[in-house]
Amino acid sequence: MADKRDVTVEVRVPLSVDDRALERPGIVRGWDSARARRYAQAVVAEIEANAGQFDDCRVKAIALDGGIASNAGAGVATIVRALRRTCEIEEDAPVTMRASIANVSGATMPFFRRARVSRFDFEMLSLNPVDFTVLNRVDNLNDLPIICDHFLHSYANDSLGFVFAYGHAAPKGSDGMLNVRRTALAAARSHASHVRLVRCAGAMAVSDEEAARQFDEMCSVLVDAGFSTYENGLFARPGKEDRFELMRARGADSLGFGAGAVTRLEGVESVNTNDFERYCARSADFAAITESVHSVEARPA
Amino acid sequence: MGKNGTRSWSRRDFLKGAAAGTVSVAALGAMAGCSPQQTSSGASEPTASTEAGSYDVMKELSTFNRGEKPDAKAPATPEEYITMKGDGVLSAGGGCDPLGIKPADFMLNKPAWLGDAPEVTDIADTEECDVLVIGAGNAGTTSALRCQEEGASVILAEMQTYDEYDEYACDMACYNSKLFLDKGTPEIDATEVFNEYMRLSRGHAHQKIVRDYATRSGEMLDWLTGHIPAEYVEKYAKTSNYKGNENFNGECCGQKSWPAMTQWRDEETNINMWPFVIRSVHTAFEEAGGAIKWGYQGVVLVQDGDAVTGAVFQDVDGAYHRINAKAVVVAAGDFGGNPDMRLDLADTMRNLAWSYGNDRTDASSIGGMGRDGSGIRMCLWAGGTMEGGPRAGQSCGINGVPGFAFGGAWPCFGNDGKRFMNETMVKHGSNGYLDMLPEGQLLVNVTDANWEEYLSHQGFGHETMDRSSDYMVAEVRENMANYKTGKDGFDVRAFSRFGKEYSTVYAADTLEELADIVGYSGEAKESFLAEVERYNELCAKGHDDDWGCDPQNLLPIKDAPFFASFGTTGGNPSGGLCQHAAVCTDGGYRVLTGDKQPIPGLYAAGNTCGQRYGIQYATPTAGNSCGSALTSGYCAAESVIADLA
Repeated sequence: MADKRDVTVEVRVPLSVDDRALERPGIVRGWDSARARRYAQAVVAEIEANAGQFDDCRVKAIALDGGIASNAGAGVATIVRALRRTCEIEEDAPVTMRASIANVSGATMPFFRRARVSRFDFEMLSLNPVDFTVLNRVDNLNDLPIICDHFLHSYANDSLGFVFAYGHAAPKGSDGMLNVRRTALAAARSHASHVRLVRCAGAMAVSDEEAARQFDEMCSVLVDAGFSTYENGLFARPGKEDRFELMRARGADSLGFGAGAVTRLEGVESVNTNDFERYCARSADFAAITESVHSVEARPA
Repeated sequence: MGKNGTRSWSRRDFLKGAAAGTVSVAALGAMAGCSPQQTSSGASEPTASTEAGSYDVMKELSTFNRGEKPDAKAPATPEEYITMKGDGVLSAGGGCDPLGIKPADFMLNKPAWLGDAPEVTDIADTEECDVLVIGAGNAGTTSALRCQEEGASVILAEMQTYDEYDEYACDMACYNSKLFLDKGTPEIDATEVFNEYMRLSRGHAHQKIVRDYATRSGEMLDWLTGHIPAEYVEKYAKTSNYKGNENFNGECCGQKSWPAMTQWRDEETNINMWPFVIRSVHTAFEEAGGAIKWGYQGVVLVQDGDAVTGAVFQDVDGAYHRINAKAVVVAAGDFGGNPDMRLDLADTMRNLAWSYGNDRTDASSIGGMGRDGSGIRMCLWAGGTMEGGPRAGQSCGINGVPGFAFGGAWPCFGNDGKRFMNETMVKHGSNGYLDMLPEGQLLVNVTDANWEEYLSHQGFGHETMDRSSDYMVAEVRENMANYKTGKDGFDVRAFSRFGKEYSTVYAADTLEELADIVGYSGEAKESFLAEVERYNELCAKGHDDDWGCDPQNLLPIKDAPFFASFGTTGGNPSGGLCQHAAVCTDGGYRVLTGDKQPIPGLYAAGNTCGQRYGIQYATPTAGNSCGSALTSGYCAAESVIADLA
């Protein structure tokens, strides 16, 4: 039997809690549990429609992103279960999920565990200073390591990471550089295993020069605390690099499911529609949800 | 082939074709044309019909103000006033004209999150037992074990699989347990505890349930630890503050607190050991003859007439199972993790969010960390009722000020450098107040070189670290002795609130430098320095004329080094942990109908059992929610056994 092709799987869940700093195009904001449930069912339908199509592939890493994937709640387990039924997934394949603390509860954690989510990338709600208002009215950096470790010990050690914004406008009278430095210091004091720095978007963004200075400052703090950078904006403690990101950086083939997902195999890419409603309505119909198919070399600008 | 016989293209088919150059990208559109067709309108969800009325607020205003009665005048004499008031029926001053508001303009009588009870017909198998307990958390486990010990045959059903099983409790406050008494902690007057909790609930809690907790939680913990291997109790059961605080008089601003919290922790790693230790209670239950069904999600209760006679579960593979029982104890947790229920039922949180200008129909405006509410829904389908509101969210508005790593109530300064509240009321008395502060409000706690002595004046809520654990005190003392000045702060590892963790403290040799570190400048800095002086004068006087801080916590800021801990208010109200509002019971944990009659065979415990806190959760002792849940399961078992006899 021929060797199987090593691939990654990316499932895009373009749902997001209200997030002023990490805005992205194509994101459906705000909570609607019926919508979240419908979307998870649509992704499962797409995955099942492709059953048997990727039997020559072996999945080495899974990422649930494209928004705040934890918004899918219990649907996360349903999606990953469908993946495991239809694709060969390596036993130790990490499952990374873009997440919000707003979605962590006794009602969701069992399903995240059932999905074998092994890495959480927690987005903060606001980042200058870091905001833990889901738990606490006060944006209190003191609580960052405390809450992190509480989470870690409840779920599993070395599974927690943060998504922090840089290039974030400081509140009036506040020093933006000092704020991001203190945020990075708080992360460093926690037992977080990895950190992703993302350029702040929207009205809260600062100039390129200030953003670069903030980025350098956070890098400096994280590296001093024992994190190393392995891709642009990605930091990890030794051995905690994300296999999905490493494979993506190497240009590994990838299967994509969900609205806006990209599948890249043997030099050809197909791109799913970003239209949320269109995707949900016809997710099992490849032709109806595919925006384009092209060779990688001919990728549209 | 597709289900309707049409060729169903897949992504890989197309990619392979594209790679081989046999299918052009341009063919995509044509292919879409021959694929199974669905109209977008047919695929979209049906538009919900609305029965909303045509309530016209402007019409109301014109009716009740002078818009339509321009000649109306206020009564000038008592006689005119009496005449206007008529027969007195409306003497409260309200009009009773119908406003034309239809029920649909308000809340639905059957909320969308509740809907109708599902009907399940494809049952894979059916089992029988005397007592079915739904939920293997704290309340469910104690209830199941106690019923089994009393001779009933018990099945305990848990929605998590054995491998997935986790729970989130750690601290459990139980009064007068042998764990404390054997170490010399003075016996507590349990009726004082009962009265304090009732006061804090403003009388809304169920007196029997609160009395059970206050008077029997120690007995329950002694019983429970009897089922836990002694080495686990010895190693992990940390009896917080069992020595007391030598300078604390037991009451702060009229609010009492007691040392009674057991925290299950591993000293070295700080791992919360309770989710592991509770498995030994599960084992004890199985050794006593009980059976546990892992991965059983409760779907609906089974009823014979009004009586509950079992439940239907769905396993992780989707199969349905029925368990018949003479009694069912629902201990499936709260609804805090169910956004739709949270939005409807967590009225305090929802309206706090609204008061911030947030969308009160968006569940992401209000956080929650509890369970899925399935136990409550099952009880309501069976005829149960929810307790009234405002409904208590655990910690909603409580964790207000940053505090130091080692806890305590400290003088707190705001944006302008001035104090703005009674800091000793923070842990209980300012619930809601801190939630109403504007975004960007700086909260700065300050103390000085005498911090350790000051700690001895603090209470036992979430106020302080465990000062009875020598290893902890030693570590904090060492961290504080090795302080570093500057804007990066330094680490202090202390046992407060969620555990023994590093937290940031800022130090300076002068108050001026501390003000700079915090970010005070100009007028705010001058105010801060002046306010510290003023505060120290009040400390010397022994009476806080400004804010009424309890005299035992009037501790001056005078000796270098000076320390600060600070944060700023965010744009969202605090969400809290679990939700305590749940179904009404009769005090014997029997679930009540709207007629306040017990539903035969149905009991609730833990966070599925309402009226434990009424309108607000509070912490006279940290960990009381878990202690109360355990006790409710323990006592509910007594009602079950009595009813089955």
